[in-house]
Amino acid sequence: MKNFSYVRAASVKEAVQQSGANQAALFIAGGTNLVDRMKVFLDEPSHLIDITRLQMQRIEPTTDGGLRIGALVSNTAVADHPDVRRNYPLLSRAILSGASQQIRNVATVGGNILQRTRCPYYYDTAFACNKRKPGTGCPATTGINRMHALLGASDQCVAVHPSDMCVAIAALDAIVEVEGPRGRRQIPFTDFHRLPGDTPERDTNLEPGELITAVVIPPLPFAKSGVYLKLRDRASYAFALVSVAAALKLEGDRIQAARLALGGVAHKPWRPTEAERFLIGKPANTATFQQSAEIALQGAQPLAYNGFKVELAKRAIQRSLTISANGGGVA
Amino acid sequence: MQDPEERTKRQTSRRNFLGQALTAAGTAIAAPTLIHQATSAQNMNTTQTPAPGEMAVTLTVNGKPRSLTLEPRVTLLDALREQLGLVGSKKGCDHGQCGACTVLIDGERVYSCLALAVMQEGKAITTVEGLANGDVLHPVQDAFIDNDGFQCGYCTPGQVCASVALLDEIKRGCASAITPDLTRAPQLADLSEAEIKERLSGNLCRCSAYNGIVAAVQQAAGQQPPAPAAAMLLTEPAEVLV
Amino acid sequence: MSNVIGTSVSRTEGRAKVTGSATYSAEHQISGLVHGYLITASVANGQIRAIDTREAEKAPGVIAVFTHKNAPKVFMPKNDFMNSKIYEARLPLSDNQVHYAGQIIGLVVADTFERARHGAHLVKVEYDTQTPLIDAKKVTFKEAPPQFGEEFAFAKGNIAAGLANAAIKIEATYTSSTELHAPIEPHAIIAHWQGADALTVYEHTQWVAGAQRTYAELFALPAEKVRIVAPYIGGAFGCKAVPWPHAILCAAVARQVKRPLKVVLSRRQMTANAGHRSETEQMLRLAATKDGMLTAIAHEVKSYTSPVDVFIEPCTGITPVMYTVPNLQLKQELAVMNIGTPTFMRAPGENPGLWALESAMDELAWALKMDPVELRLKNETREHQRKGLPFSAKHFADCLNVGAERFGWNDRPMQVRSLTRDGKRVGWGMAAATFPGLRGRASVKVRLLPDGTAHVLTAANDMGTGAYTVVAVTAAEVLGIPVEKIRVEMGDSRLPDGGLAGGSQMTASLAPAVTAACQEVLKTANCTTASEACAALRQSGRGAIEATASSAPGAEMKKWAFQSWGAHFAEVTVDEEIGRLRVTRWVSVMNIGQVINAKAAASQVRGAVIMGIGQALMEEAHLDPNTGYPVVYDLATYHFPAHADTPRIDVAFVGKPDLNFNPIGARGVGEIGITGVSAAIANAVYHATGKRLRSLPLTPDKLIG
Ligand SMILES: Cc1cc2nc3c(=O)[nH]c(=O)nc-3n(C[C@H](O)[C@H](O)[C@H](O)COP(=O)(O)OP(=O)(O)OC[C@H]3O[C@@H](n4cnc5c(N)ncnc54)[C@H](O)[C@@H]3O)c2cc1C
Ligand code: SF4
Ligand code: FES
Ligand code: FES
Repeated sequence: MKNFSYVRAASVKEAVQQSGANQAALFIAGGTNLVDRMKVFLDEPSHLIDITRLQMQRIEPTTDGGLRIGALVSNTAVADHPDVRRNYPLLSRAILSGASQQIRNVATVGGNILQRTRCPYYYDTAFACNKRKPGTGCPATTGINRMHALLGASDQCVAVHPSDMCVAIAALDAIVEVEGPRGRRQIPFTDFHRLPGDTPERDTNLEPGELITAVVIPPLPFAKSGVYLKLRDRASYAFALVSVAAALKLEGDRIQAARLALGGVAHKPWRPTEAERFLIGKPANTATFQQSAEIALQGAQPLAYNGFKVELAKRAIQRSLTISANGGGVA
Repeated sequence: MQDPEERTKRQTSRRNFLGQALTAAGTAIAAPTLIHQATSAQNMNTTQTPAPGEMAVTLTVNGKPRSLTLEPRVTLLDALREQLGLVGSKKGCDHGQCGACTVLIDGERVYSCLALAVMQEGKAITTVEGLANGDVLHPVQDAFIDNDGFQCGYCTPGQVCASVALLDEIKRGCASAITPDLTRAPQLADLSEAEIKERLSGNLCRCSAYNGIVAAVQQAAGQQPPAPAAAMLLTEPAEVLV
Repeated sequence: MSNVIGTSVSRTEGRAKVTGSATYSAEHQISGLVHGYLITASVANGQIRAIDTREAEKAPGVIAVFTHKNAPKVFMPKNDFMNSKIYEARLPLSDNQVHYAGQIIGLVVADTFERARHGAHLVKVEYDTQTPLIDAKKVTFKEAPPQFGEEFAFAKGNIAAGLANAAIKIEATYTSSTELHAPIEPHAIIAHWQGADALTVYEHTQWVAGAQRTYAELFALPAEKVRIVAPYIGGAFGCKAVPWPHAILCAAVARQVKRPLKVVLSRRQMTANAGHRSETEQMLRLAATKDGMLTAIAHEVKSYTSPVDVFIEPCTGITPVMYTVPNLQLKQELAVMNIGTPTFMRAPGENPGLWALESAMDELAWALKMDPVELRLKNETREHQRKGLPFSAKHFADCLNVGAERFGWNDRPMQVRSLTRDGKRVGWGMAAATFPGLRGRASVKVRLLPDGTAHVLTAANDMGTGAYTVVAVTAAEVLGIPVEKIRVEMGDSRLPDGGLAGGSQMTASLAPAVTAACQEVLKTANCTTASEACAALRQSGRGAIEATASSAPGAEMKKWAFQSWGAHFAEVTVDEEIGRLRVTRWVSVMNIGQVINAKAAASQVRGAVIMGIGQALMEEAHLDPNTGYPVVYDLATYHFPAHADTPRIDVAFVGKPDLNFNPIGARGVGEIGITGVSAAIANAVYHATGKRLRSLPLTPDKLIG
């Protein structure tokens, strides 16, 4: 880790100003991703702006019955919040199935959204990597790509976004509130992260100097039956091979509304909207779920080592939808 | 169950309980860095003025203020181990991947290897060295010994700290990924083995003393764990046929 | 006779471990200490063309940078594993050649850890590179040379005839992956020179006296000028027995910079530079009569080593040991790859060997429609078919029978896909376990004090095995004083040579030596009991009375084959739809002779079984197929079991003390527990799903049905 100067920002405004003034500055929140990256020289900021003491630590109800979650609320506090547990169990479960209690206790909502890929090539400077050093190449495309993307990748980068929380947030159609040198704006969560295309170095549509201040979760009554299923190589404390956030609204056995998002398959939390649309009006049964899973994975482009994830993702979708149709619970 | 306000209240009361003087609670705004350095410098006659690239910080460790000058890049774990001589917190991976460095910050378990020391000012840090009350071990420590919850002992301080925090989390009604009903988190009395294991999975043990650790948590939770010893079905010595 | 031996005793060092006061290698407080950080190669096969250290040298706090251009002097030790041994025969920084990715090519010394790490990052290296040899399918295999004096190839009877005339034949190839020891304590060393000719090394070592002699030879010093201090070891499993290159370099550089120097490996550096278990490919052919009598076993093994040293994963060691067979043929082949040097890892050879053999035995049982327990009972051998010696105190059948009973094995439907629970397939599997009874020479000093306490001193060590407590319990037994009154000191080369903690032999070597020393001290005191002796001390006003004694194996090694035995019974659930495998129930029954501490011995078995579960379910290290650089290199990418992966392990010990082996009758327990585990799991998966999986680990991709 390169040394840096450190300052504790006193206000959002000050934080944004400082970051605008210094190209090589980075915000630090929980630090569980950034410090990790800095230790292996993926990032070498000369200045860190500690935002942890800013007033973005609250979870408040919105007027329409949703929740506004401050960017600095810890992952634990989100997962354990009574309203989240009751109304958005898939968000609680997604968070709780990520990392470990120790990490979740300090990891923040903003930091979780902005955590970077766990691609092992990205994570070691011995390798070339277009995300870390644009133009150097992507060794993962011809390497061990078991954990890599099936959907929406480019020949420049096949990395996946590693977050669990974000998969649930994507399914919930949340909005990200940001504040930057040019003021405040709102970004729909599904547009927040980017596909790699020719600019894999850019994970998100956040502009330089912009700070995430909150995430707004709209009301979604049927999210109560929501499910989060995470499949991985170890029973706990491991990143997803594939994960699914799902929720169904049923009228009798007919599906009235559906939410589906996938983790571990793309450079961003993946919303298979066609598969969601397909579900509407169909009977909630195995055949329907199977077909929607087929649709969700239609464009999949497996690599040498991750072909199994296509089938795994389909099965995970079926399973999640089945559990949600039965009222939700542990997946 | 808790919301952030409650969380803050709880932390504040914990700190009061532990008797630490505090400048700001977690939600309050910190004073600008320069002033911080000045105030810190006042409490520490022993520390020289920071060299270029270094800062002066005061950490509250196991109830005692400890003043240091260090580079901002120094993690809490390295500050504890390399500067304060508190080597009880272990470095297993240095990347948040093993749990050996687990300490309690304001009562919550945290990996100290991913925490920058300079960010911990004003917080109450408890390491494994601070759990026992003089010669009287913390009940979790006793339970680890009784149930053989370790072998080489290197992951043990982390496992012990995590277990202490886990029991507190249960008392506060925290849920886990496998809690069947999120609105009804388990109590100490009905805390299942599966729940303990999921909640402790952020602490790896390569010696795999896991059975003993789970039993230790059960004991500390007031449950009756299975006996740690093997079933001894040995019979009398064979005739020596030399 | 036994009061304490065989009972359940809490570890005597427990308090130190749960309070954080146990001191591991990197934690000794030494003033003036400076920090070293390794520079490692980013290519797997090539030469360093240029190495530019100027920027690093200018960085704040950097004291010195060492590369092959200014490598400090070290001497090649004898490296015979009698006097001395180093893990990798090439001395660090010998030349500009890079043999494997991550190889050590330099060391930066700085006043703090952070500055040393940053300094290492600032060093610029240019390489000439060649295509690395890392594809197991493209490397050239040769017959494996003898290892530690033993040939691999072996034949008995007529294998062709044995196979040809059989009613039932099984022929299958099993593979296991590259595995990492991954102790939670990373490799660490502090080297502290007292002048240029006396060295203190604070380094976890499984072989204190061996390390002392090795460092002495490396620096051409008399052994007594080197002191090794290793009171605690944070896990080893075979990878902390003797010096690795980083440790040699640390000691050499410390002499040069004239400061106590600490080097701790990062996880990535451990992956490349501190050993692993080689992947294996094993072809097994079994033949049997209709009623299940084995007529032939052919076992052919391939494993890999580095370009700079030879280590052969000795899988065929177990084959002549397990089952009576008239026709037997063993063969091991070895290929060189551009990978770091593999080494001993918990049950080297026995573990992958039994993975293959016990899987094949299960296949044979199914082919015969015979219960696998019965098949094993039927073919049990009374003698070691290679040594031609009878086994001493063998109770393998008891392991099988008691295990079957405790598990409820007899309720197993002899049909695949026959059990379900909560929508998942349930399967039961079993496998045998074995490990040789090894024993070495050990010396122990016992000191009785007037206050009724005793000190037991030996340069052995406790890497988590419970050796401190074994020593205390044994001394308490012989001296007749309570365990709490015995203070054990270990892990310091100033104490009498306690032997090697490897090959599960520490207990078998130490316990008899402790016994002898305790008897000797009573003899010296001219008393029959310790309390008598202590009372006499009080009266005489003398400070202490002490005696040293040694114990070593003898003629019994020529009469008997010593081997420990066991059986594992496993239940798994498989959620076929989503490829989720869980181990839900486990029974292990072990026959290890006398058990000294029922608690710590159970933990050894539990820990080993869980490590085996890791091998079966998830452990797998990979190199990038193009560059040969590891892509599995830390504890996030190398998975081993977490709490949530582990069932409760029921452990029982059966049999009798093996008094032919040593006067205590103890054979040691550190490694046997892992052997057979992966086969038991794969066998259970077969029972659950009907799918025979022959390639470890059994990750979700192999399980989705
Ligand atoms: C071993 C390990 C296992 C893990 N397993 C999982 C897992 O299974 N699932 C999972 O989802 N995650 C996992 N994580 C990742 C973890 O969730 C993230 O590290 C964490 O959420 C990051 O939050 P933070 O507050 O610590 O972020 P930081 O490290 O502080 O910041 C991350 C990035 O976000 C920027 N940033 C932070 N806050 C803001 C803001 N408000 N506005 C603008 N920029 C900001 C920082 O500059 C930095 O670039 C794991 C991490 C580790 C180390
Ligand atoms: S997949 Fe993306 S992150 Fe990984 S090596 Fe390729 S460019 Fe880098
Ligand atoms: S050392 Fe911090 S988690 Fe491993
Ligand atoms: S006791 Fe050795 S790693 Fe846990």
